[in-house]
Amino acid sequence: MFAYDLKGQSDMAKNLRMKSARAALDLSQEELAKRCKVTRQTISAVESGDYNPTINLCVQICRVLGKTLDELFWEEEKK
Amino acid sequence: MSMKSFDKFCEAMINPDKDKYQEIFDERQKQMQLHIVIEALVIFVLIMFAHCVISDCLIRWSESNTLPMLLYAMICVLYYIIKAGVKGCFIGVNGAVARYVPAGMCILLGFMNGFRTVIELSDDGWAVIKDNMVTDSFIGLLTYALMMLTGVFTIIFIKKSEKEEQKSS
Repeated sequence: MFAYDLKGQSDMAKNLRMKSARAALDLSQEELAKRCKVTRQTISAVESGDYNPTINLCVQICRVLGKTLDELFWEEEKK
Repeated sequence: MSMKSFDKFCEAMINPDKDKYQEIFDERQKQMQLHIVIEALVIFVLIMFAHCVISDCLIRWSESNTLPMLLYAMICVLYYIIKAGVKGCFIGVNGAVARYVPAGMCILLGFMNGFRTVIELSDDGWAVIKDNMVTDSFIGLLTYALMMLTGVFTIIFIKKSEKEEQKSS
């Protein structure tokens, strides 16, 4: 109904790198959310590509997962 | 309630203890809330426009214009609460304590005023329609019913969130 619905924000793909980094540390979405001080739904939305996180949240996630921004969020341009 | 405790109650209402009732929302929740508020406002404007067109050009269906406006506002508040609850941006990061207070107030105020309106309506012989117009008392009753419903939905979402938290911990 409304064009600015967050789901339709962009054609974001699922963030599988973030999901696998979280799984590698044996963290649940809830645990990661608590450490990043956000809700579980937010982590779920970032992983499924439904939400485009701010740089602050990206940094926070990277710190908790022990990864760099490049490793989790950088995407090479498709040619 | 003594005067001293009543004073404290009023003071808490006017100047609530921020640390006690502060609900913290994350960035996605804030964005989502803003979008839902805009949607609710758009819906309010559209309903009001439709109301004006119907009242002026087709049929004047309510005794006054003010009370239906309150009813539409309550519909929009209810829309906000339901959509925010479904989208997971109604309950903040740090739990739901802050939401119990307004939810309880909504139910209490809705019930008190609704009860008074029911008495008014019964005095008028349950006149829902008078002179081909919906009476103010009935529109008021609907508004208070929606107010109570808002409080009920709030508590449902809080309980749901608490259950989810218990499951995950």
